Amino acid sequence: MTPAHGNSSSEDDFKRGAAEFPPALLPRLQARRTLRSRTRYRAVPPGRTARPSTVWLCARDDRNEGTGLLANWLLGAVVKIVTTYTKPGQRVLLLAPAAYLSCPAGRVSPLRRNQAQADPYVGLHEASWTVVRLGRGVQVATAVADSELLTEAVADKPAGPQDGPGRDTTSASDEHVVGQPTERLHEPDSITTAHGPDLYDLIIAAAGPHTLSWFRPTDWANVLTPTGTLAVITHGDSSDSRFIDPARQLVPAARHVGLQYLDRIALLREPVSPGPLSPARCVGRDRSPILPRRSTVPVRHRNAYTDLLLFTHQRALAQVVDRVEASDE
Amino acid sequence: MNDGQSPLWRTPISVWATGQRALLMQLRDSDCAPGTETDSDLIPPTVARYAIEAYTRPGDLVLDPDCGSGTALAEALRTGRHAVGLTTDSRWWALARANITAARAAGAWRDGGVLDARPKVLASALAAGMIGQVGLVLTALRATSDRVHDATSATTGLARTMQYCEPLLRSGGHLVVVARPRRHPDGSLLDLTTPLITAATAAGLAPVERCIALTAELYGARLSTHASFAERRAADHARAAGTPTALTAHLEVLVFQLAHDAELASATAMPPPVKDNVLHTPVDRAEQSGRRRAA
Repeated sequence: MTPAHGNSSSEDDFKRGAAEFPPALLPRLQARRTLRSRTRYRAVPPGRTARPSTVWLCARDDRNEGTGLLANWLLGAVVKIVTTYTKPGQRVLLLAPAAYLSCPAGRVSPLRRNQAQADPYVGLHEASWTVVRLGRGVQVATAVADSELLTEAVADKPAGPQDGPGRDTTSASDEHVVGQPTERLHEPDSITTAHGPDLYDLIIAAAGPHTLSWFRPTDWANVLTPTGTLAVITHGDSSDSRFIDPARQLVPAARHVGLQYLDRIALLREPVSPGPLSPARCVGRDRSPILPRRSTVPVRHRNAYTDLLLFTHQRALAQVVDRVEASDE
Repeated sequence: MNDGQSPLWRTPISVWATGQRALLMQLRDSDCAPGTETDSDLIPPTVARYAIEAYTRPGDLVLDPDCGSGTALAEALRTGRHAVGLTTDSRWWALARANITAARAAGAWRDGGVLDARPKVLASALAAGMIGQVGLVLTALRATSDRVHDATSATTGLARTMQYCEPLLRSGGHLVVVARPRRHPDGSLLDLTTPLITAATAAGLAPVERCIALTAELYGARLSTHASFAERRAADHARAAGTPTALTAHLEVLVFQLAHDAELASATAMPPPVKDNVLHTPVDRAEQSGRRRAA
């Protein structure tokens, strides 16, 4: 990084540099800076999203305003998923397990509330109003863990005109209709409305790795449109000092229901310093005279990302292949 | 987050900012021999250097059983570690030799060499002197092309290599696999982590971490990928068809440890047993596992 840039503009920097460099070099320096600024901060044309990459920066680990349940990184991830994989007017389903909803009469005990706050994916449903503002229709569904029944909290919001930023987002949760836990709702394909079976262009599910053992988002593939996308937000876990990869369970399950593994994206929850990697910072214990590292002390990194696994139907990928072949011809 | 702790004690995060310089610039900075960039599956020097410094100490032995152009070996020598590599490709062998020579010319004095041999030689009597001596096995998942069956066969080959390498690891040593995400011809992603973890488990290793080594450059809150023109073109087609695919911005880094080391780490993290008449604690089991392995 160039030192002492502060808050001054690049033009000020250039004028300051004019006194330091001979006049013959100035046009070349100016051209180089212009080229660098163009390549680094090239704006995406309006109405067109940037190409997604396998790493997304969502480094805001604090809680969103309102009920304080939804993490800002999760909200940012949902917005990016929706804008990347859907178009305005399409339908989105937000799907999350929530153990505390199984309390009788919908009451939430303080203990369970604390447990829910420890879960980084609690509050996914709060993103529904943000999705509405993006011009997509949205439904939310909640799976209950304790009774192994599925309680559906439906807030059907048609993709109408923009609601505007001034609308109270807390009213979104007021419109949720928490259904009675019935056997019929245990199966995902039983999500029906008066208009018939619903299909979604995007399903966003968020759950921890242990919850995925009973909460299987891939079972909801039959409510996806033929070109729809299933997005599962989860993370790897460690048990008995062994890493447990969520893809090991999710990818075969998705193949079993006819979904193809589209992408795996890392959602960064912490800011990553772009500076040079310092080995002293990484293996500081090695150099500490107080606690020399034994040979069996494991080197461990703190997990700073969450996995986003994307699945789609084979038919959607076939369209891509056809398009590539057509362009080659 | 500082958490009020000294920077010395700050735990490093699992996302490595190793893409701040383009690969060609990294190779130039490391004085790599011309032609090294033709190795499409090489471990970038910054990734190799970070992994070596994080998982070994100076004087340790670093082994790359399929070293390609030898960037990991050169970085091991530059960071004060011994290095041994194997390859059967004469082109990579010459490049690896040249890179090791360049590292020595830059002042590296530890022992380093590259053998024209298959990884299977590690299971023979020729490698008997290395048993229990290797601090880090650092290798890349190599496929001759981006075709799926090549990647699948590469995974199978790496599974065998893991079995050969497991007896060579010293207690506390690590095996690190660096893999570039690959796609099927239909555009779907190839799941590499699951077969690699399965193979490592079968070889007596335990997966302990999955890290992300960035190949893209960070500009504050933005990320700039160094994707090729072909990859960008494929991404554009996919996006136009309504199914966007992501540009590769990272390398998968899977870290394994000896199974009994993982058990020992788990046991030391557990509270001591309450009853005194417990015959087999987890620590005992780990030691017994170590004895079985030595036998």
